[in-house]
Amino acid sequence: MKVDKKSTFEAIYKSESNAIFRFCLLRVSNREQSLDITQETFLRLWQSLLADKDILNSRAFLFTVARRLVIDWYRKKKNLSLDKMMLEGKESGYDVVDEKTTDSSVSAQSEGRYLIDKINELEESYREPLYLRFVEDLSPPEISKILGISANAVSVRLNRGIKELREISGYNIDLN
Amino acid sequence: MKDKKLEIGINEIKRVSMTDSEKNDVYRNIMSFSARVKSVQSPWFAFSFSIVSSRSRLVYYIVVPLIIILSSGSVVFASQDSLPDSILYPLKVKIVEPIKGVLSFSQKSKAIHESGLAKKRLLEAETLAKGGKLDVKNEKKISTLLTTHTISLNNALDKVNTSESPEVADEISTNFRAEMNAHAKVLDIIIKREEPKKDIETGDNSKNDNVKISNTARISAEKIKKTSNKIEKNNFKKYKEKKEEIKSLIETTDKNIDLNLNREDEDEREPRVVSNTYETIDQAKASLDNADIKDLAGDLEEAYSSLLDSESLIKEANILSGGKGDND
Repeated sequence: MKVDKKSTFEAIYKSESNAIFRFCLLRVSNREQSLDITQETFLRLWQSLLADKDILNSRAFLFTVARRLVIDWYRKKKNLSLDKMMLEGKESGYDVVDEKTTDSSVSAQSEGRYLIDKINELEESYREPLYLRFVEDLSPPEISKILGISANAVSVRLNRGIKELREISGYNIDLN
Repeated sequence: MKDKKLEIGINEIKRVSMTDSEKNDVYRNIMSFSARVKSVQSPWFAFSFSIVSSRSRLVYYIVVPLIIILSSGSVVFASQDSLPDSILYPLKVKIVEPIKGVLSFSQKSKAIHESGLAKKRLLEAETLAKGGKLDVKNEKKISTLLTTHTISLNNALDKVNTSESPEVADEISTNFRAEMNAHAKVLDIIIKREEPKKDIETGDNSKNDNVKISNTARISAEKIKKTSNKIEKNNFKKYKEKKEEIKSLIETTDKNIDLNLNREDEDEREPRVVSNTYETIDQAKASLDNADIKDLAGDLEEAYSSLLDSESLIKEANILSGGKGDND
């Protein structure tokens, strides 16, 4: 039984570990820290599998856990109370990646670097849906589970985000 | 459709990944960590009922009945005012009331408890009679219970005599007799009043002479009277004190009787109850005179017995006249 779980876990780890690591790295801009969060994320998945918990969508589960761990990490790092974060509206959005640390930590090349910068310029509520949709190819229902909002709200944010990204980046993108 | 530069940007971001060694390290850490560390146990785990009960059977035997008792509390509460025609009535008379009796520690409180239950049965009969629901089945049920309460009271009074004092036993005894006789009269009056209505509704013109409960009540009162204490020979002091006490009680009742019987809130008082009250006071006075005569004749024992009769009668008159909850 445990062998089955282990093989399931291995398959998920193999397919999703890079996406989770990438997601964490773009948020925290620190490779070591991203590895720690990735490890913690997968450890929780493994514990959930061992406890026979039903995980219907492992991708959504992993991104949800990773996202929460990143938020926790910011809380500890910046020593900000949850209340203050909520007031500042930092709870759900992307934190702007620090330029000084980004260059050495996120090894994307010029176009990738440009896209990250432009995503970070977007209004906060558009950043995560857009990143998850375009970079990680998640569907609106999956994104809705991760962000804890409705699929309709995700679609609205994607539409508005694309429109804004088109304006600030000059990319010629449409919704389809 | 995506812009080409955007596609390139996305692909470049997608290439951001862990190295193979990082991947292996993370995987190894997860496996070794989960092998080392057991899942965190809740701090309340030790208090879990199943854990505690598996460790000690005693807890199981205490907690389970306690849960049952607490959860059945509302049913018990609801049964308090149930009548013989209710499904909760057996719970009341077979479980709740006996448990209360067991919880009465002194013999005096046991006797008072049984006396109270007998009175309760008569009040139930009165309520049923008022609603025209006092059928033969309910009458038998109440009569049987009334007899049971009288036997229990009798036993308790025997013990009160030895554990407390004969005076205490006499006090409970006269109270019981007064209650039984007063409520028997009220019940008879209600049944007679309700009889014509019942005849009209059912078309049954045959007279219902079945007044078992009031008869049982009177028999119960007599039975308790027979077990009353005898006064010790030459205990004139006790006799005199008792006589003075009853005299004072009769005077007070006499003084307040008109006021009690003509209260504004009692404008619908049954006339037969009023006449019964006056008759009972007269009987109490007669019993007191009788006691004097027997005392003069030198029969102190009989004189004392008449005094107790007088006491019981004047208390009965008080119940008929004043006790609002008793009559209604």
